[in-house]
Amino acid sequence: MLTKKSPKLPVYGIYLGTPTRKKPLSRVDYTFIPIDYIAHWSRCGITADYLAEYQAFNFEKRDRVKNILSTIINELLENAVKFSADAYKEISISIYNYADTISIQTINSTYRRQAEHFDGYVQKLLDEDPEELFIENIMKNAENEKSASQLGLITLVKDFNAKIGAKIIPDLERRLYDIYFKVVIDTNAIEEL
Amino acid sequence: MKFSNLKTGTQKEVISLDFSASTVTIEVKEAIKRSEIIESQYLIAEVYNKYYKIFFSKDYSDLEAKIEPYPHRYIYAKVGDEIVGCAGLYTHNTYVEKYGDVSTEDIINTLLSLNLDPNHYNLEEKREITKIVSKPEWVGKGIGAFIWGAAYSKFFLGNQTEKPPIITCCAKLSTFQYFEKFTGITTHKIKSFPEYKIHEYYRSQRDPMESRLVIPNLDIPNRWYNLKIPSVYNVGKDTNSLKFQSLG
Repeated sequence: MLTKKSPKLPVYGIYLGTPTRKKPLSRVDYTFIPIDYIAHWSRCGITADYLAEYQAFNFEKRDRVKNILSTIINELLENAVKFSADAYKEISISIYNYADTISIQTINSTYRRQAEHFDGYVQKLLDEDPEELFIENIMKNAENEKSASQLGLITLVKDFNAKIGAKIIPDLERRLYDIYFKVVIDTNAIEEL
Repeated sequence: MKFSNLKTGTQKEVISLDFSASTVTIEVKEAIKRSEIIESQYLIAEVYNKYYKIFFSKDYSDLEAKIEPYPHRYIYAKVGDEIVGCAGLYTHNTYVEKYGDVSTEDIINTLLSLNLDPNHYNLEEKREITKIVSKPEWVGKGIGAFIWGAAYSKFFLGNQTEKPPIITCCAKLSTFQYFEKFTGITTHKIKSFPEYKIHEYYRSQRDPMESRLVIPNLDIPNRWYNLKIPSVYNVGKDTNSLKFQSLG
């Protein structure tokens, strides 16, 4: 839990396991500044499509895989942009293919309040049944709560069986928090989804 | 220092202004070159996202997803080589028509309520001033208010016909009050603006949004309507007034 006094860094989900020693077969690292996406929101879609299509060459059902990966990447990109504290502070997205899995990680900086909100949300996402969480969030959105819907992240877990993880690293000097968020998809299962 | 040419066509009181407060020298222009348009768009996007968590797209707009359309034209204030403030103009398909449920009939009714003859206005040609922003580090120097006034210049409104165009705007009440106080430009309520998620951090129950009408010969002082653009101005603002002087 992210609290002012807690000495322990919040690390959740797949970040808690031992990192793989495998070398990625495919690797793309893409860095950008959020203002480009704030100014032209459609760039989220074209970036996600490009990165997804790049990965989809490894699959038989290219269009199907491209669509799934594009949905996942788009969700992560949009969240990283929406919850960035500074429109000119870099965001990065990395997509690694380890043969048996595809890992997609975003890193962005956010304010304490957003970091705390995200911290609580990730814990819920890992602890609760995604179907129930999905319905709960739909109800909240219907009540027009001011928070972002975050249905997208639940959908990734619910519909694509994605494994997720998060790390929140404080940058005390800048009073910001670096949010690491990772989604891992099973390569063998993705064409059958 | 005295100002010249401050008489208004709207018969509003004009005060002779002393220009002793600290001022900023700005170059005011319409964004014509692609570089000027890009810089204006990025400034609007940066400020609207910072304060209201709003995003922009040229391809589509979705007020529930907090994605706004861009205006069609821009006017900006530059200090050195940096755009420090700008405003946009919808030259058709205005925001109040698209999202505010404002019809031509609503506009005619507003004109009639002001005892104005709708036939004296070009109801087919609508303009809407929008997205007035200042760079956060330049807020408080009068640039936003000056740009609001400059946006109501005949030059920027660009009416194509003899009859004046219909000019609309959409903002929260406090914004209208602020700009009226500093520019003297008055506005007339057409109707309340519907509630959308995109305005969740902008409007409030105590400070709702309205669609309003601006009548050039009634509401826009001559110093704004006939403002020389492009030009360089000294601009200063204190708690009660905006002062400016053309440097030619």
